[in-house]
Amino acid sequence: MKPLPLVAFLLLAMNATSASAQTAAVRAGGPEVDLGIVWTRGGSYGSANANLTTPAGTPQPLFSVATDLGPEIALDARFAVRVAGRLRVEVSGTWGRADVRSHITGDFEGAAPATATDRLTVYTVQGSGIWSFRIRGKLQPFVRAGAGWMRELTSDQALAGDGRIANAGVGVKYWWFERARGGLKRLGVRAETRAVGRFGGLELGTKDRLIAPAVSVNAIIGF
Amino acid sequence: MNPRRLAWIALGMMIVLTPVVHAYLKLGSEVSGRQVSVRWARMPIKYFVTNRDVPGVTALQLQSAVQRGLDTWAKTPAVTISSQFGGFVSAEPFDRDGINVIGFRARPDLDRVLGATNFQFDDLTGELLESDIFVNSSFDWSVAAAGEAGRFDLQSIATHELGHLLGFGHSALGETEIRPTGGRRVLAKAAIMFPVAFPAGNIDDRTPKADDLAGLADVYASAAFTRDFGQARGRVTLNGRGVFGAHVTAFNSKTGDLIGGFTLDTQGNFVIGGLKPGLYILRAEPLDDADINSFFSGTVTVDLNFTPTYYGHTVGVPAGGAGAAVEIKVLSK
Repeated sequence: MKPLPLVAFLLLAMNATSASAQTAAVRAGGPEVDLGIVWTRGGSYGSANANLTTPAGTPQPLFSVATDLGPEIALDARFAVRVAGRLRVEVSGTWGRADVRSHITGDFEGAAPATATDRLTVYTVQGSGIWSFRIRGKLQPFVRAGAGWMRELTSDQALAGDGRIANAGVGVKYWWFERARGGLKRLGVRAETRAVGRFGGLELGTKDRLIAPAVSVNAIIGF
Repeated sequence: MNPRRLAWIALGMMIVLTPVVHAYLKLGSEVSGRQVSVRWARMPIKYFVTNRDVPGVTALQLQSAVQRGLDTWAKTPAVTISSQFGGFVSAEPFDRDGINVIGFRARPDLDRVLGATNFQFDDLTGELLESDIFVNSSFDWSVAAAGEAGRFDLQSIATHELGHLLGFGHSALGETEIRPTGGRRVLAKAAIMFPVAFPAGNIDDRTPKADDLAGLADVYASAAFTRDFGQARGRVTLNGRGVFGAHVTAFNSKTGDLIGGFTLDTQGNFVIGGLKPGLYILRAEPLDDADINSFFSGTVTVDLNFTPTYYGHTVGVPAGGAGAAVEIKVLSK
């Protein structure tokens, strides 16, 4: 007979009961580390004409370009601490890739339409505030908002553009493991959706901002 | 003492003879395998005006138009050029007299040439020594502020010729059609250094465009220019071999700047300088919108047998450098 697993289970069960009673205190206190993936939808950066000027002074496009940014898939890492009550502040960083696509049409001399592309690397560092509606139970919904810095790099890394990034959204944390003692107190997942605004960066087209939805899923470790 | 080798070049609205050319047809000379740009080494550039009036324009009005043209070029960002009017003289343009003379001359035989520029330079150093401009008084001219129907705008044509005087050649950023009566008609263009002028009455060529400014800044590159602007570079190839004389344009959809250059060797290499940092679309086309000898001397063979083609990737141009070299693969017509 091997009694040890049963003992361990009972201890864990007792801990869980204890943790349940202390959930609010535990969740409000310790820092959290997240690691996950974020998907951000792309969008249009506008269109422009490569204009010549006619003798009448009117523009004559040599060709037209419509530029859009494809969806970005990024790795997402975060570190959050409680600052007051249900409010946490979070520092996050992402590293992702997105394709910029310039669709060229309307060539004056009849050249075939073409698409010029490049795969951009995008880094962001943001600071955000997270306010939880409730901190009891396994589900912990929250709202968030933040802002930070963004760098976009061309695939050959010859050109970099810095910009600003901002976000606002809602999400939920789901805790499947919690205990009151020990270094690692909680394990969970976090899903959220948010609006992300990009301002500046490589200035891909006539528009200098792009606001797009993003969805992320992260694993959370609480201490 | 080094012996000076002197070279004369004549440039016209429709005629250019160039021994060596760079992007924007920046004029130059090759010394020991090194390209030397033709440029004024000393400022201010002192010029004189032939004391001759023509119908509708006095010598003083010609001088005023020339000075406005020079002042326009002098406003080019990151460029320091200056000029000084030396006075009215009896000397004629195109006389080899050691002074820079601008004036009217009647040349009814040149019935498609509004004006022309020649200059003498040291082809070891590229230093310009003398340059003259003649304006063909066989045409009707105007100095009216808003232009004048049926008359060519003197300031517009002077500004084009002064671009040559400053050391650079023709741009190919324009589209033309052949006139039934001969010659070409401009449909549209994006550079005052395009070799074919707008019709009489038009004053648009008083103002240099992005291509013109990039060209001048490249000739007179200051430390600030080298630091703040970048290049796109690469090759144009047809079935694996380099294309000579292809016109390559770089377009920045953010700024709207459209700037051109040329492939200038048999490997099809090109460099387009003077680009603001950003992402660019590159397009290669044959040089078929003006006479070839407006751009290259008659001793070279320019490849025209290919279709306009876009490079399949956007090109990042950084400040003070260049992105990775690209290859634009064009197809035969």
